[in-house]
Amino acid sequence: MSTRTDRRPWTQWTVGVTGVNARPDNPGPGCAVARCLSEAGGFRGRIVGLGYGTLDPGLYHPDDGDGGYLLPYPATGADALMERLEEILAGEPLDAIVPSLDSELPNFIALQPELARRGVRMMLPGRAELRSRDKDRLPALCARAGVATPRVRPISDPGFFARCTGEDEGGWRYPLVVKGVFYDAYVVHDPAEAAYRFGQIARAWGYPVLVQAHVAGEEVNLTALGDGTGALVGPVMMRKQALTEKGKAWAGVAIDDRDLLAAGERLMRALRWSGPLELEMLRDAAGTLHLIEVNPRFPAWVYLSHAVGRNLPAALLALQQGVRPDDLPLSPPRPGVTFIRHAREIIVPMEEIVSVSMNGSTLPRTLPDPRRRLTA
Amino acid sequence: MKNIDLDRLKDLVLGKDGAAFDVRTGRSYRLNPSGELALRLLQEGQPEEVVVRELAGRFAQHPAVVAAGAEAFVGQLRRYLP
Repeated sequence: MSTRTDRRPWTQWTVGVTGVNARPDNPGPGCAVARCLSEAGGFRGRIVGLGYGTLDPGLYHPDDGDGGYLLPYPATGADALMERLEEILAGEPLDAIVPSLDSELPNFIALQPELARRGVRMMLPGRAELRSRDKDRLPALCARAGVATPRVRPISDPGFFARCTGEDEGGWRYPLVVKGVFYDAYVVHDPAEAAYRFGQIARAWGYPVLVQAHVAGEEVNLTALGDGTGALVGPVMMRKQALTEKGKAWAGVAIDDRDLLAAGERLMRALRWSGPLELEMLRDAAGTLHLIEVNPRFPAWVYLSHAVGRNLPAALLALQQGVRPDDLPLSPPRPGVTFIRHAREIIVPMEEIVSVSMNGSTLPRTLPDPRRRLTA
Repeated sequence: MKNIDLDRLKDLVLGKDGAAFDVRTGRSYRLNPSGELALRLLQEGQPEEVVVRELAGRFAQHPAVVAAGAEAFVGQLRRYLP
């Protein structure tokens, strides 16, 4: 895939990581991905944050990064992204990029061949695979995989919420879940609340807005890698124990749920996914698992994978270098290992902020510092 | 003691001092000594009469009392291990 003849091990690569925003109520996964790589056994490479805002902490992180660059927002398209990446690559050859936000995947998929020619590795699904896990296509995917999922419908008229309980509209029942195509989901209990959330989501993320039947239950999540053959590589499972107001995990515990694992294996066989993904599922009172979302990236809680001996970002780089899945150093599941997230300030010199604001990049750093921690 | 799936029972991993962790749900429980013994025996697949006999012998209780307690314990397990 790459024309670069460089055979340095992945532990010496320079890796770009996106999604390095980290607002406590809804952090991007990038900082956790960077931390996994930073603490991976033997890693001596560089980790470069690729952010979208001057205040993205992953651009400046003193322990888990070596500086960073701003990218154009995904809505500007693949050409603008390539133009910016060319500027970055001219000064900082990247060996790999780990895209970590849903909305940027189409652009990176479009650029994958060109970036591969320049020696930048990425492990991504194809366009069709990405599309097949879109929220409005989950019923078709789940039918193929033999997994339950709530019915879902794209809508563009908020008047739907006043009519939706009628037989003509399908006899929906409140509460419902109103969702954006990429982000945000709200449980709504009546037409007025639904219409309000519809407007909020449409303004933030555009149309269509999705409505999904609500399933009452306990959320369990699985993250893993796909190698494109349909195999589920390195699954790590977690139950959320504490949530932010946006429903993101603030604390969670590693579990070993054979039903979740089996569902994950069936979904992966149906998807033949390449790269990282996260399955969000709900277990109802009867014990049935319902697929809520398939996220095409690592989750923000991926640091738990390192804690349970299955450092998935490190495994991703190893796969990209050609290590076979069976040869990855993955520990057996360690249920009970718990994470508790916390917010912490990092101090950034004014010169760094000015540099990012004016030049779109942090100040040049010369050599990797000897800050790498001992591995877990 | 019917209707409890043995594999599901084995999801409860016993630690020290009666701590039990359900690897499937991530929930933790604390068992008293009689509950701990009962769970160990159930996880071994022992029939009800053996569980009652062992508990009655270990804790010096009348088998009828133990049987009632064991039935209640199993009812709790069914609720907590769906």
